[in-house]
Amino acid sequence: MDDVERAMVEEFDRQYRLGVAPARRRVEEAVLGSGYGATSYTTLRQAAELAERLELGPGVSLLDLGAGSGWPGLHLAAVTGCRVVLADRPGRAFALRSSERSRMGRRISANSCDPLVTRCPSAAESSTPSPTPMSSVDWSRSSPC
Amino acid sequence: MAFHVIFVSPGPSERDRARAIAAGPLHVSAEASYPELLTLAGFRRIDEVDLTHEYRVTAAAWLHESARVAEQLEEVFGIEEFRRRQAERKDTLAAIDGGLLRRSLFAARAS
Repeated sequence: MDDVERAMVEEFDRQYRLGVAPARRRVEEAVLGSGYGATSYTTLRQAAELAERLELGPGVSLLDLGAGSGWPGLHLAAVTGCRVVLADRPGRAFALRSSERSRMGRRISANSCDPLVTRCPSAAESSTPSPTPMSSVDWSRSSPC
Repeated sequence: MAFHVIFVSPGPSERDRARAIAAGPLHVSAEASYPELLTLAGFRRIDEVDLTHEYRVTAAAWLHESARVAEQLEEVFGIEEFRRRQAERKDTLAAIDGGLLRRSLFAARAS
């Protein structure tokens, strides 16, 4: 990781820490309908459409690539009963709230990985499309505050 | 696989492309289209749902809801940073209104 990338990761970490401040969280709830310290434009309704398209439910595993704060992966696990694997770069904070840990327990797995050094198999190489991948790549340039 | 993504509208001038990149998220400078990238990665049955209108609504909501509690957010982020972010949001809205930025849901299946 070079200096530019390191600075970017540190800035994202800072934004995710500040993103859970009460005033900021109230804004997020008004805008997206979520309260995870999210930095995206994915609304509650759009999260529901993801769940439908990915046919999420009990027994299904969801891989949330670039999971950031955990929105909407954690929410989808909570409402559909699926398992969720959250993956993001090292240092990225997941907003795993204690209530969700106790409620969903082993259905949550949070993992750090660096896409610059971790090679992911292409779809053509992966004969078993499970867990179902979902990429949360619509981070804002910095972070909605 | 399914994901939402913001990208530069196809076919802008060099000047408009630079403006879109400045107003959009970090990854928005991808030069290939997402259908092309998905196809190259071995995905098939690619479906796109244009959510640009919803993107505009949400971007405006971030701007206006943040403005409503500006004093509280200035305490969290600092006055300078908060104002910079609000200015960036206005730039994003202008880029969406100018047809420079789009947001879509892509869904695809591994072949």
